[in-house]
Amino acid sequence: MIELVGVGKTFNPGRDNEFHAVREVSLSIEAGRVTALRGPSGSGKTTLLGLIGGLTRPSVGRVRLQGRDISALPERFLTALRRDTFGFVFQQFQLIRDLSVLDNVMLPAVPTGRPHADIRTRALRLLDEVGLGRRAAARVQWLSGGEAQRAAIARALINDPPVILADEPTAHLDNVLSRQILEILADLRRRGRTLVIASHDPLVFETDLVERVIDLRDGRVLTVHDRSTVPMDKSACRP
Amino acid sequence: MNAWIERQRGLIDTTVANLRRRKARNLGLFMAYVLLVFLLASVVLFGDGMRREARLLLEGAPELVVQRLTAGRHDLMPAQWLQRIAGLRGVAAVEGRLWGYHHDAAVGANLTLQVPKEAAPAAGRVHLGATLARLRGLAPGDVLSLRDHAGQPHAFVVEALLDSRSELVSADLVLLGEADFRAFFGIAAGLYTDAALRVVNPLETRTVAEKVLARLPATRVISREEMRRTYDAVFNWRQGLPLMALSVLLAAFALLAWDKASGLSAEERREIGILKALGWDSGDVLAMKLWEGALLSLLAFLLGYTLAWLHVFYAGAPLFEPVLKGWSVLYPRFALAPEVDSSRIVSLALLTVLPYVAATLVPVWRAATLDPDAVMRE
Amino acid sequence: MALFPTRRGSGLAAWLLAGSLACLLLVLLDASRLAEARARERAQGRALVARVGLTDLALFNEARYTRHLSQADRHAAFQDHPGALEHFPAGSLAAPARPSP
Repeated sequence: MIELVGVGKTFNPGRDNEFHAVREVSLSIEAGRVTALRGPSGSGKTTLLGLIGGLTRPSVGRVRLQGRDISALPERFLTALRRDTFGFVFQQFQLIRDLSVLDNVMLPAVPTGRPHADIRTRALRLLDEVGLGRRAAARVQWLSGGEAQRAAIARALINDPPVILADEPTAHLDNVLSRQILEILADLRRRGRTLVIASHDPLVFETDLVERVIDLRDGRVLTVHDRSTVPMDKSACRP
Repeated sequence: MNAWIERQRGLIDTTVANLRRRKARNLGLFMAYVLLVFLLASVVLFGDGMRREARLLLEGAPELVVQRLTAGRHDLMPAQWLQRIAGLRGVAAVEGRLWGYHHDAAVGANLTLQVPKEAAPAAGRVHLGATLARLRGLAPGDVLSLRDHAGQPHAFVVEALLDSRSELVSADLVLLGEADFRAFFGIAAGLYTDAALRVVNPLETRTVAEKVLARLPATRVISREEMRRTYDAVFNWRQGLPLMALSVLLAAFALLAWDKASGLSAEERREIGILKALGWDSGDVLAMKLWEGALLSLLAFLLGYTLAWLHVFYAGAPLFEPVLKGWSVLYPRFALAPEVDSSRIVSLALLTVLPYVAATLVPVWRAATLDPDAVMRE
Repeated sequence: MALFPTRRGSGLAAWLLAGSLACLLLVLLDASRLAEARARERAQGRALVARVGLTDLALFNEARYTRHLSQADRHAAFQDHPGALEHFPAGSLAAPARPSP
């Protein structure tokens, strides 16, 4: 579904602090499956996630979404495409404080021009599904870590995107809360969505959730394991 | 089309939700904005109103006034000069005017004593301007005592008060008969303060004025047109000191708005990044900011202007009284007539709306166009 | 009313704008009535100007050259000088008259 061909991303090119976050990555993300990007911090997971989701353009190489080259699309089209295709869950939740949970969840849908009532209904339903139905009117800064992450997931789903990209979804959460989040993600998978998760949390890889693991180091792909065919290798789960 | 409308409404929803987050601060800012517009519009409306009023009131003023000058200073005019002016072609009528100033130490007021062309009061009686009467607590039948040129007290009986609706021209007026006037000021018969002329053909006023000057070189001739221009210049709002001060305030306010928007804190920058990552493109972010600026400034303008209108035309512009009154103790009661000048309203609207909108929009431009992936790499 | 629900921010904004616009239009519409009323009052002043032969407003009563602005003689302080403004507070509003062209 999503294909990266020879993709690289360099920050501050040509300057003293030039930094190659991702180098020569070629991979493909299959629809309807859970793919995990694994690697220590600094390995380029987050940047790669951003490249997959069209948040950033590659310095070299091509990104294709269902066969269509999106790396050179004008911003307006890329944004619209991204809005309809991807839902993001960020590492630091990135909710807007002083706004209500409901307002936060509805935010990504505002530029779509869909009727307000529809968006609102859908947002409330999503909050119910993640167990935050009663907290819809609360200010986001009053939520606990686990609740905030669930709100972020609900927000990622507001435009009904087929692909969910999650960056370290279990960071800042203890085991119990982490399992809750993973259960929600598993449910999304069951309903047919594609998931791409960037993580170095061993807990993520202990469950059956992840079907394919892409190991990264220093911005390059080390290995690609298809877990459905290859038995899980516990020694690969390094913190 | 519908989707576009819904989208804009959604953007406005977000804008309002954002403003509500810092309710107290935004409300304070808004009220300051309204106050600024109010002051600015008040000055403009007042200036326009006064100019109109002066023009309409003084429409019947003498067409020409001739003053005698001696050594560059105003001097009394002998009756022969009046005759010489009357002899000029184009002069329909000449009239010697008698008027002068008297400082009333009792209340610290400067009075204008004048002999009216028509219906002069009887001997020993005066007609008082309503403001003066109010200040001194005088009513018809009371006595007004003034010291004349020789220091002798003169007792005048107040025969009538001038209509209070004419206060703007009669605030300090004391109308009296010619004999009383001459006795009071010690001005001999045959001398006049100046001459008021009526011309045969109003289009020939300038020519007549030149003729007067030719015949009587030691004079100064003032035309009604010049009088009008004086008051036009007086109330020209561009020349007002308060307007200068207000313009500075307006600039300061725009600067404040700019600073608020451009000192985009890390927090605000982050939030724009989040929006972009969530699927808002630069256009959406800028549109939202544009709505914020436009809504606030439009609302501030409408409120400020309406309040200014009420202030100037319904409440009698009390804020300007101390400015206009200055050191004087007399300030006339008057009401201005409104006139709807749409070009004025529009230009004032643009003046107050555009800088603010620009100030909130331009600094955000940069942040709005940044790559959204920045928010991922916090 | 579904058109302007105030729960939504855009509804509130719309109501506020509509309300203040309505207020402004109201006062503007009243203008002609008020102007006529004022014109009737002004007739008194105009009559007095004709009766007495007045040339000036009695607005700035501080000094003779501010009281009779149009008559003030050349010797009055700074009559034609652009910087005539500081002696009396009202002088800040009364710019010196421009000489006739």
